[in-house]
Amino acid sequence: MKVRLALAAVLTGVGVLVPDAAPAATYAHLVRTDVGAEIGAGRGVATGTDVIWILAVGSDARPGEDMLRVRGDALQLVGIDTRTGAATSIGIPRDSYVAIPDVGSDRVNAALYYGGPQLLARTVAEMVGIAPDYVFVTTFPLFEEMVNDIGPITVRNPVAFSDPYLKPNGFPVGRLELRGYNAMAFARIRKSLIGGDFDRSANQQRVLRGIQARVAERAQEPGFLADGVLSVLEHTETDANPAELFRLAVAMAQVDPRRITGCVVTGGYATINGASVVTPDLALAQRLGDDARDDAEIEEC
Amino acid sequence: MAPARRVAAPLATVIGLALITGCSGSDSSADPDRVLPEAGGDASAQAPAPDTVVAGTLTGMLGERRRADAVAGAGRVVTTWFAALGAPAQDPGRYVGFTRRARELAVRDRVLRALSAPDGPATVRIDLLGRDAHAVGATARVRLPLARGGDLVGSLYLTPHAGTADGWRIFGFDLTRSQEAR
Repeated sequence: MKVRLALAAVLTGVGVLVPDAAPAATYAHLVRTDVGAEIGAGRGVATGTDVIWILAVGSDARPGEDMLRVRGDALQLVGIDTRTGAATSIGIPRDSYVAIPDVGSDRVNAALYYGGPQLLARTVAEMVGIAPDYVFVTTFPLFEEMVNDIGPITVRNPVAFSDPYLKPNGFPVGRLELRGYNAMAFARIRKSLIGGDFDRSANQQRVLRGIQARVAERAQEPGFLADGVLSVLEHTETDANPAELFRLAVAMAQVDPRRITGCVVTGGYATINGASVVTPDLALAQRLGDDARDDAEIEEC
Repeated sequence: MAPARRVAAPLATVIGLALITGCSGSDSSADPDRVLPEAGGDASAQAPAPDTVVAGTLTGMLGERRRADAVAGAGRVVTTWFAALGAPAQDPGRYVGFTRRARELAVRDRVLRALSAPDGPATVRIDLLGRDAHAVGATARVRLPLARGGDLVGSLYLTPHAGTADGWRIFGFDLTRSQEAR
């Protein structure tokens, strides 16, 4: 079964592959937020900067569930400076206990459940100080297919780890070549990591970096980017127009691998109302946001 | 030399315009191209060799006529820019056919600033993205001999732009100067 890469994969690594012959169906959502600004000419660029911010959300929605109304399982705020090719990712542990506007305090990923992508965007904007221009939501099985489609990715793994269910044989230290399932497992395993949710978020960034490198390798193949855009248009619920998506795809593919940075909003652990949560270092979150906001670069985590 | 790669979001003369014929397929067709001289063109032996603009890959659905129009429009934007490369590096007119933001990037880009005037005909291959029977994006894969040596090679990215003569504008570029022997 031939599958096609979705535009979203180009940047976020959270991609969608769909069978060519399948009827159009929604496999992911790309939502333009009302707290950011659109890229490109002719539609207005309100930020005064050339940095695009996309909040990538890996949803653990089961088949039949609305992926926009479940708790997001992976959260990465990805920025691209289209002038320089710099890109950065700010990892937000899903269990971060934060203020959700008009709701109260809860885990950050609950914002998706309470108010969909717009509320999640507002929540992250208040936490980090950067308003995402887009929110992209998809599920892990589709992520696997996307990695299979673009070909194996390479990650540098600093610490060996395993998981009795997802990866009993584990991942060794070193440069690893990962295909779909292993990329998914690498990004999802949490319990066996010393740093738990924080280390998992860092692993997600390693996977994103590997995906971006692979996509950049293939971007010059005639039709590669256009194919991804077409896939998004056909199978992603989005309010972005085709030309806008094309510009976005080009921006994603032109990220300079030498200028990619990434940090995780670390913190502590606590039990609140009987639930184990992460208490994020909000000062760190704001510092990372201040550092990256205008140029998608972070000097120091 | 490091490549110039920018996205922000273009005119020259298409001396020779070539379009493929045949059906516009779906899903990344990569039909062989056939180069045809522009109708009515002067084939005088003294005239400079014409630029060549051909249709490349089509992704999505697009009617044959609209595909030809899109290739012609985007191709004119690209070749018009090439013709303007003789202007001074800081002259905004040098980046005719670029969007405002792309022009701002281009003016500051060391690869583009250093480009000299053309020294021969360009070859331009236009890949298109079609959606709802309209061309919504184009990638121009180019090669242009330069007067100071080397070829300009790489890609220019365009989207439709209402209200312009050719209907397209360059919003991004990924170019380098090749020193390979021609």
